Amino acid sequence: MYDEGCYYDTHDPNPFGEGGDVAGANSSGLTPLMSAISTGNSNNSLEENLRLASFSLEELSNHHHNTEAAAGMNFEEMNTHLMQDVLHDPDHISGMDMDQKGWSTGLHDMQGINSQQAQQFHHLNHDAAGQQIELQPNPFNASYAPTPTPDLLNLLHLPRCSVASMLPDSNIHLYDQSLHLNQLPPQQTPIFKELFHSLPHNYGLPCSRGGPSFFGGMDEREAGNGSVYQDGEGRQLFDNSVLDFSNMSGLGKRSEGKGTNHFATERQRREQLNDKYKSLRLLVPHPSKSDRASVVGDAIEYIKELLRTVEELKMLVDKKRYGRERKKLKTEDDAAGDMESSSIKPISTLADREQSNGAKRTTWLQRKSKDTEVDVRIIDDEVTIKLIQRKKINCLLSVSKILDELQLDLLHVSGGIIGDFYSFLFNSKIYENSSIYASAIAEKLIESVDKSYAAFHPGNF
Amino acid sequence: MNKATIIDDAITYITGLQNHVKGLSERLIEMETVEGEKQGSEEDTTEEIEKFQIEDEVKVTCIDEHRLWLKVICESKRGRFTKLMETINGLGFGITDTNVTTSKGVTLIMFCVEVRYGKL
Repeated sequence: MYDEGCYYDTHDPNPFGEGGDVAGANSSGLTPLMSAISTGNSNNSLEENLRLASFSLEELSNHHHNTEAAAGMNFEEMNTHLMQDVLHDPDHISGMDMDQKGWSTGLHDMQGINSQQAQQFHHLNHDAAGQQIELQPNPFNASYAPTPTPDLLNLLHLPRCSVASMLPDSNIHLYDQSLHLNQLPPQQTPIFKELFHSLPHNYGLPCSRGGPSFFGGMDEREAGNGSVYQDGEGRQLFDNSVLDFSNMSGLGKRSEGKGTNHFATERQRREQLNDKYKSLRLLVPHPSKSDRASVVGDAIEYIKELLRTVEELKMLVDKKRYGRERKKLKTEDDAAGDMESSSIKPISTLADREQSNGAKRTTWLQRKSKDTEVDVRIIDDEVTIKLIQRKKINCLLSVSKILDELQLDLLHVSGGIIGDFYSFLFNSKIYENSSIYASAIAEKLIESVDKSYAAFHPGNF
Repeated sequence: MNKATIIDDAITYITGLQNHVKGLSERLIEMETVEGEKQGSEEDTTEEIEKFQIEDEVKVTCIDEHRLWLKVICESKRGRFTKLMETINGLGFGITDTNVTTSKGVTLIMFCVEVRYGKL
């Protein structure tokens, strides 16, 4: 039974060439099918071709799983079966005498489409249908009774909609387009080409039929990039339109359940949302995973850290501005006994927490790079640095150099090799009136350690 | 507040904060360069005050075939640790463990190093 969807993901370039884009969805199996169809019957009516396309699309969806099978399918066998199925579906087809036995058999093999898949494969169907249409010569059509069902004919006679005027949110236009295609005599391939070329503009249309599942599939495809979607979806649009067309004739208004406008706007909305997630991800310094939840989580941590840094900097600026008044506030023991978080995270995360008690500076900042993890805690003028290095590179030298640069007096160091890691703990004191701040320390450390990794790596012990 | 607006707000806020941080740090750097010269002299004096009378000492013990244990007692001065590290690296030792403690101007440094004969 002709269902809506064959999803084929591979289209060989259309025999006629330009459909290539449209047909681009690549169904290796479909192509041979299409070729066979095209070569077989040059006299098929467009409807038949369309139907065949639909069938092939159907196959494609199944085909999707067994591309080879489709390729090897014997059209003869498929014809009858497929055509019969197709006939059943759309009313107009019922009148057809499906002579293409190869088709039907093969098609049946292909069938077993999951309805969901079918929805997603709509575009494929359309594609195939489009191809079909172009491939006027149709092996099966020879035996076709070239009597399109009245419905189909009526559809064919619908006012032609020029490609240019097709709007993404107008299903009807799309249908018209497909109808128009159907109306074209076999020789008018240029028109098909034109239609195919114009398909990208109608990307909004196919969604209407797919419903949620279709959208779901499309979403991934969209990748938030409408233009890309257009290019890739042009065929699909066409497919959908063709499919819709056949469905229209056969199944009535199923595809019109959802207003086209909703699809377009909803898709735009989704795309915009995806774009925003991506840009948010770009803002965060060390994004790890790219799923939405992680992006939001990283953003939250980053915002907190930024707030802390702002506070810290403000305080430093104030300190400087008002001379060298040390503000004595209650001391806070900031996790002196913190254990090093020797996690083997190759990802980078930022965690920052500041407890500002009056003007006493307390900052905690963590930076992780691929092989290094730095944890900087500042209480007033004392800095505690924990450093964990994944690779066994002696970094003490570089670290101590940097600490000197940063004007930190080393008070205490301890560390060594623990398993696969070097881990160190540095307690240092900030020189008086130095306005070093936590993130600067952390960044410099990470930077230098990574540099020394790079430098030492070839000669790593 | 729907998702889109939340994300939008987050993006705006983050960029705002980033700019703020940038501005503040630049200001800080400016201020620092102005005041930088004044501070040099003070630090040395404070160090002198805390110096104790302890002799520098270096002790080396052979633990293992390839391992040494170094113990250094010295006066605390800036950059000393760095110099020490440079020396050790230059000798081709791989440091297994480190312990540095400072008390009243004196630093106790202990290393457990592994000697790699490949590098001398």
